[in-house]
Amino acid sequence: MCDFQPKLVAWLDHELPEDQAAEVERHVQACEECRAERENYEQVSGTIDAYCDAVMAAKTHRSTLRWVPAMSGALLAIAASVLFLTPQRHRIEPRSSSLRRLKPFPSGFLPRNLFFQRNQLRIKDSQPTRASFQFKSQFQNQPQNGSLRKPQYKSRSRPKRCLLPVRSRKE
Amino acid sequence: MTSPYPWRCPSCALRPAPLRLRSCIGELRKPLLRYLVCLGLSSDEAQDVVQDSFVSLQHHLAGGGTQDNIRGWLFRVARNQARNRQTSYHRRFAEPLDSDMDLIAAGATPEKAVLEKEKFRRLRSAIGLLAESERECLLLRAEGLRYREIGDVLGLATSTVADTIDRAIKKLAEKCNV
Repeated sequence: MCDFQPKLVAWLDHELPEDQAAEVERHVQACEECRAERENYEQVSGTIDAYCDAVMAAKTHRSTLRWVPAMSGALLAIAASVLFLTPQRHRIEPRSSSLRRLKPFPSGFLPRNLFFQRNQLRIKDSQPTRASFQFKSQFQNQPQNGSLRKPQYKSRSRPKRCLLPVRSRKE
Repeated sequence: MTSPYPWRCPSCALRPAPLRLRSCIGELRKPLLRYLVCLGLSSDEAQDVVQDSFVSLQHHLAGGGTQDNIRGWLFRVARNQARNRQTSYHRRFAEPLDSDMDLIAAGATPEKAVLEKEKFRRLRSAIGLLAESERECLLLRAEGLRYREIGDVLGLATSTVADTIDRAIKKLAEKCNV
C-alpha cells in the first residue's frame, strides 16, 4: 500500500494544505496504484451524489402523485355540487320582440332618466291625452235605447290602454 | 441594494461583493432539502424543516448571532429538528433511507436504468453497513460541506471528520466494487 493513499480522499476534497496537496498531486501523476484508487474514489463520490439525487426525486415525485387523486376528487365533488345542488332559475322569454318593445318598463329595471325618456317617447306617438280619453269614453258609453248599460271604463285607476299601433308578426 | 445583514455567504466567501441573504437562502435551500430527505424525512417534512431552519437563521442573524460558518449552523439546526421529528410520532409517516423505492436516474435509457438501479441497490446495502457517524459525514460531504463545517454540524474535530470520511469512502469502494 502506498504511503499517500490515506491522504487521497482529503486531497480530492481539497482539504489538504497547499504544500501537501502539491506533493500528493505530483505523486499521483507518477503512481499507477494511486491513480486507480483516485478514479475509484471519484466513482464512489459520483454514485453517492447520484443516489442522493435519485432519493430526492423519488420522494418528491411520490408526494406529488399522492396529491393528484385527492385533488381531482375534490374538484369533481365541487363541480357536482355546483351543478346539482344550486336552484335552477327559469327565465320567461317574451312572446315576441314587438311585444317586449311595447311593454312599459317598470321603474326598478331602468335608471330614472331613461325610464322617463322611454315613457315620454311612447306617449308622444299619436296617443290621446288623458282628458280626450275620458271624454271619448263617456261619449261612447251613453245608454242606448233606454237600457242602462254599465260603462266599461268607469274607474280612473284603470291602466291606460296602449294605443300604439301593434305591429304584426310579419314585420 | 445592500443586504440587511452584514454577513456573506460562506460558500461565496471568495467573492468581493457581499451577497444578499435571499440569494444565499436560494443557494442553500436545495442542498439542505436533499440532506434532510436522505436522512429519512419525507418530502413534506423536509420542506417544513427547511422553512423552520431559515426562520431560525433569520432570528439568529437579526439577534446579532455569530456569523462565521453560517452553512454549518444552518445544517446543524436542520439536523436537530430532523432528529426531533424522527423521534416523534411524525416518524411513522416518513420513509427511511433504505426503503424499497424505485431509484432511477433522470433521463436514463432502460438499460442504463437497470444498471443504475443495481448500482444504487448495492450502494444502499453498503451504506446500511456503515456506522452512523460515517453515514452522516458522507451525506454532509455530498452536500458540499467542508470538513470544518461537518465537524461543526456533528460536534466532531476536523481531523476526526477527515478520518471518518476516508474510512467510509474506502468501505464503500470495497463493498460496492464500482
